[in-house]
Amino acid sequence: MKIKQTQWVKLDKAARIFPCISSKRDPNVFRFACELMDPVEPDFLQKAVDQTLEEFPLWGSVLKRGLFWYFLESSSLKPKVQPETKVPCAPIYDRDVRKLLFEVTYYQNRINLEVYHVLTDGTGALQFFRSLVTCYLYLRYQDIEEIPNLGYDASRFEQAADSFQKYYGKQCSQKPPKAPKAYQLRGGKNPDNRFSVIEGTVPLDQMLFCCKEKKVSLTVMLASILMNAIGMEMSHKDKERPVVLSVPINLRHYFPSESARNFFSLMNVRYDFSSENGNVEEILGPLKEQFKKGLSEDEMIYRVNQFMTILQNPITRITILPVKDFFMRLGYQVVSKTETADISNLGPIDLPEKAASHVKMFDVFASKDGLQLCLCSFKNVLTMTFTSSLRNTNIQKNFFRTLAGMGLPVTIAAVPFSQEEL
Amino acid sequence: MKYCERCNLKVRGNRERCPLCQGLLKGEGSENPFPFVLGTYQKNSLFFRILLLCTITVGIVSVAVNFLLPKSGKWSLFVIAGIGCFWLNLVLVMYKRRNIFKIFVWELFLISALCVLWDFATGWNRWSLDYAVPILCMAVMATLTVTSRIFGVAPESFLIYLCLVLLLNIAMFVSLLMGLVMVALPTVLSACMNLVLLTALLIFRGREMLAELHRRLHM
Repeated sequence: MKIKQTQWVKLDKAARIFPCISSKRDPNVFRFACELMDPVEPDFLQKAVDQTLEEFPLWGSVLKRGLFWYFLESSSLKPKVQPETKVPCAPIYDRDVRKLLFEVTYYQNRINLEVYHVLTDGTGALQFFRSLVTCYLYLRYQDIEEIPNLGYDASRFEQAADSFQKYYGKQCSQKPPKAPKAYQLRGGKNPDNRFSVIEGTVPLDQMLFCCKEKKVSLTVMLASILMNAIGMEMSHKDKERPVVLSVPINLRHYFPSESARNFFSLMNVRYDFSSENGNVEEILGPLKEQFKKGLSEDEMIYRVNQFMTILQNPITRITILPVKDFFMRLGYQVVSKTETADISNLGPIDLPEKAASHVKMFDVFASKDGLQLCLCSFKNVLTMTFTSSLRNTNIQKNFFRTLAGMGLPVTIAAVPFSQEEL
Repeated sequence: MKYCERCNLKVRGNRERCPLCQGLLKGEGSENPFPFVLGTYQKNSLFFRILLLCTITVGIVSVAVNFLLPKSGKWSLFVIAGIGCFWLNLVLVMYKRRNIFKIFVWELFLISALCVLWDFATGWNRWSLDYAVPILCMAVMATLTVTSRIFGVAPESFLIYLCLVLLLNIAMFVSLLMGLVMVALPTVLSACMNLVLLTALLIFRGREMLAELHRRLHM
């Protein structure tokens, strides 16, 4: 009799929270999109997905529930490339259906990859997406001699490693103070748990020039503009609470790791509009300081430990999953009161030269109950995409108008909600 | 590309109004960068609304008729309880509709509990514990065995469902020992069937089953 060996892995420490807190409002799904010069050919895309999956075996996993924890189990399911027929960042995981944790869809010139956060974080997914796009372009155009090595030479064990486990235990000297409540965005929500997605692009060189003038990094610059855009919508009473932006940090930059799974942490930057008037110039200074401090080694070690101390706690470990689900959700609600919005920078995306000539731009965004801004750049195109569960898009308007006011040529695109909009 | 004069930026696609300020756009439209997708509205909710209205009407009418004919006993209470049971089962099936095996197992627990309640409310003749629950257990085990063969369910999942049924069988056996069950045969039969199925799984798929338990119970 043939005995099938089922491979399985525990969830990494950051991923453990996602299945517990995922809801219809925020299914913890994020999307990478790549806009090509020509329309997508589904057959080639399907082949490319199949080939890429072989390089990333973990992506063939399904999520299952144990008595104490969720876990990933290998499956023989094959992903099927489909035209885009769902709303962006719709839930992927369904506890009653055994299915993969990512989906590849296409629409005209766009290839979309949607991923459930349990599988990996943005950086991990980007490795997969770059391989997928390069492989597709190679199959489609044949003018690329061979599928090049994308500078990602991790073994399968390195890919599947849980780096939190590896770097846990380093001592850090101080514990950051408890975060106070932050200003919360309010207002009517979109119907059907949909997200309003507004994508804006500007030329990267012009944007970087503006940053250089102010002597700040791109993330600090855009975070300041976002804070200012939020500040413009606040009433006098709202200003009693600080605006707090939550910024995910790719820990691979600080701890050597080739993990293709989650290895990120969150840092908060704040600005208090009650004491100061606040315009972009004034916000820049304090924010720059906070970014510098937040990225220090001590803070990094603290963040790795932060996840681990709760999850390694014996009481946490022997609690059965439904109870864990409940308390994690409760804890997450408390934490989310300490932040106003998210800003996430995936950084520059590169492709091999020949493949890059077929690509117009990349785009990234994530589901969020509230407001989130995701950034990425490709060649000279900086893409900034807002996802929001709120109907009101004034903050997005303020943000893009500020950019336009700086003399940048802004182009925006939005996911339509109704037929009339088109 | 279209242009919004108020926001001072270009807008891709063919929309009439600016997505930021809702002002009218100028210029030539281009192809829409995103498709229009209809939201996930509850498409069959009309059917359920009609069903809900019908069942509630039956409930109200029976209470009214019962009120007018007081000598006929309090039968309308049973009509209402029946409607409640019907909806409980329907909601469960709708909630778990994407996984037929989970429907079987959850229904087993729900119907068993409802049977005991009905039995209790109608004079505690023990028909629920003596016959209904063990026979349901056996029926569900048989159905699971057959359907898992047909649908090619991984034996690991089958193991988990069998273990859940085992919980109920253990509870039944304890009731038997405590003297709550009067007719022993169905309960003993059901327990035997459960043990035989589990043993068969362990003999033929032992290593996989242990691995599955290890996965499911990791801390």
